[in-house]
Amino acid sequence: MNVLQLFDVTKRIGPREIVRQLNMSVRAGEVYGFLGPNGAGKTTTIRMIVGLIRPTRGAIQVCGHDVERDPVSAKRHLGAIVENPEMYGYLTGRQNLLHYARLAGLDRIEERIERVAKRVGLQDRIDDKVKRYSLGMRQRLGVAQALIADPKLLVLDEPTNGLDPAGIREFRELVRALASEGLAVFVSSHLLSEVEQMCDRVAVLQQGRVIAEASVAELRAGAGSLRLRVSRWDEATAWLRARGFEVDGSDARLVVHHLDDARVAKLLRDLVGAGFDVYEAARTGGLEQSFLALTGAESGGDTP
Amino acid sequence: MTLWRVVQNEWMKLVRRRRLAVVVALALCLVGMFALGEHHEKQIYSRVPTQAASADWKANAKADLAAAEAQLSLLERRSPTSAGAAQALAALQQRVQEDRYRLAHDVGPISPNLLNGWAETSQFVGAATKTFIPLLVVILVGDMVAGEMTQGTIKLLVVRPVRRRTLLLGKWLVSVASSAALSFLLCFAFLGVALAIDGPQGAMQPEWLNVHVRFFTQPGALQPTPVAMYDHAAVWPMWHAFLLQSALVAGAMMAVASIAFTCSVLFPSAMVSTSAAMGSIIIGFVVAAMARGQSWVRMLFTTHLSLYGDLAGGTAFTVGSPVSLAQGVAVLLVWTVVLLAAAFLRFGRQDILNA
Repeated sequence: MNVLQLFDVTKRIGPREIVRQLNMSVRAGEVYGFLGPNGAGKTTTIRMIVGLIRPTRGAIQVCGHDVERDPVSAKRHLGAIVENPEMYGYLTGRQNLLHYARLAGLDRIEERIERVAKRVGLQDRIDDKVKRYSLGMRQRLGVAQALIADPKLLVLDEPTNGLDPAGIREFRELVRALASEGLAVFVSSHLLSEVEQMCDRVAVLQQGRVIAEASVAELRAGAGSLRLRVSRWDEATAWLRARGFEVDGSDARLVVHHLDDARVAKLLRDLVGAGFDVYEAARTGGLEQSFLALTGAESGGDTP
Repeated sequence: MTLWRVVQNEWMKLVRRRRLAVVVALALCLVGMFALGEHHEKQIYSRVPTQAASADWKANAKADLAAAEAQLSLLERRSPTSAGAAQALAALQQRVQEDRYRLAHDVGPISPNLLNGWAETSQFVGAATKTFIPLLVVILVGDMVAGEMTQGTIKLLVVRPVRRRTLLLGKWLVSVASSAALSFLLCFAFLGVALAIDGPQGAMQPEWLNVHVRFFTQPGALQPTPVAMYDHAAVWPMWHAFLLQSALVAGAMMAVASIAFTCSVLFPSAMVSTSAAMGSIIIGFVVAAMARGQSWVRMLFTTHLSLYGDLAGGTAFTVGSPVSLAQGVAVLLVWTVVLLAAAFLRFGRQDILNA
């Protein structure tokens, strides 16, 4: 079942189309990565999903409820962190959660607060004022408020911004755990490594368009390059080119582009079969290569 | 009910914000200043030689009433056409009404060396409702929505399963309720201070309400002369009038709160919205003062912040044209409704891009 669905969503602000004809769907139990360079329209899309801004055209459904026409039903199944989870600093963590729980119309609020506080590891500091929290603790409280109403869809906008490596790992594990409990998670990021480690599927957004959508496994397998050191490299280059491979090679090291697993296997088999000696063969890129190939190297420059 | 939960939330936030502490501190300063002023005035009054309370005030009042009624019967045939004639008539009417009130309720005049704390408070509240109290209200609620926009907390508020209009309605209800409560409490704080310093006498002294002000154009005069007319006036005990005045202050401050609230929706920065609300009040006063005598000044909301003045005649004197309480209430209501409609329209459709 699709927990989140976007149909031809377009947002125009002034003369500029920020996002164009997005079609996406996220299933229960799936972590869906929304990858793109800064300025590609990720935050705009997320703000449309959570009802902060309205699409110019198209429709967004959460659990089958239209976000624009029936916002109350749609948002009942939604938990979100939009950019930094700003909380009320003059209230305690518990009061913040109480505030959000009331708005969700929940019962047994105290019990829920205890439960989510424990889940994010804030139970000891929950009665402190939020202005005394560290950034990491604020982030945890942000997750707690997103989970307070037992949502079916969790929307996270650049959730690991500002976290230290340990915090990022912890966060990733939490997201995986939530997904394994059946939650659908929609997470945006400009960090390829993050998406690669956290997500099951990924859509790549560039200049407001989804230019690719694939499972992380597919992306990892597809469209990489192969670095080769072979005997008689000039002959080998000509031989490969004749068979339609794209080869860069002006010395003994050849680079063959646009290869997926199947093509790599075939190439090596045929190369050896044709009597060339292969001294060295190494895959490069994978997902990163795909990402750069898809978005253009210059705009993906901030991948680590 | 969702609205009730929104109200609970907004109340929780309002009472824990630092703004409330600032408002309470400023209000206490104001009460302190008033206490100081009263103390000073009381010392001046205490130098007036004491008179033995005249036991025969009743006889005097009866005699005065008879004389005034006799003179009045000579005048009352025709409506006055000059300011002088009107003033003479009004003075007689007032005398008759006062004597009748004193005799009917057995209320003698208070000794001239004593201050009337009720009258002092009423006067001070009348001035404060046009100056300090609106500013306190603006500080209290001038960033109800803008504050959340500035802090970014609006995002996590709007993603909840609650309609935007319900959120806004809850915020507005808390704004007006807290502003009304603040001004009501402030009125009684002033009263408490005045009675503690001046003594409790004066509660039953007469106060004139429903005073109509007529304007007479005199040849050669630049401006028409206002005369308070008592044809339809009602005489109330002061404590009674003070209760009404406090309620009217609370009502007018609800209108101020609504205006400040609208500013907080229209301007997404907390500082800008608070300044805009304050600015609109100050500009309102300045414009009203500059255009004194123009009939459209009655359409400004700042003209009617002292609704009690509309009823007791004071507003007409400052505005330079006749006003009534019904007019004042209508003007404040229209401003409130129109601005709130703008706020709800704006907030309901707005794309929240930068919060």
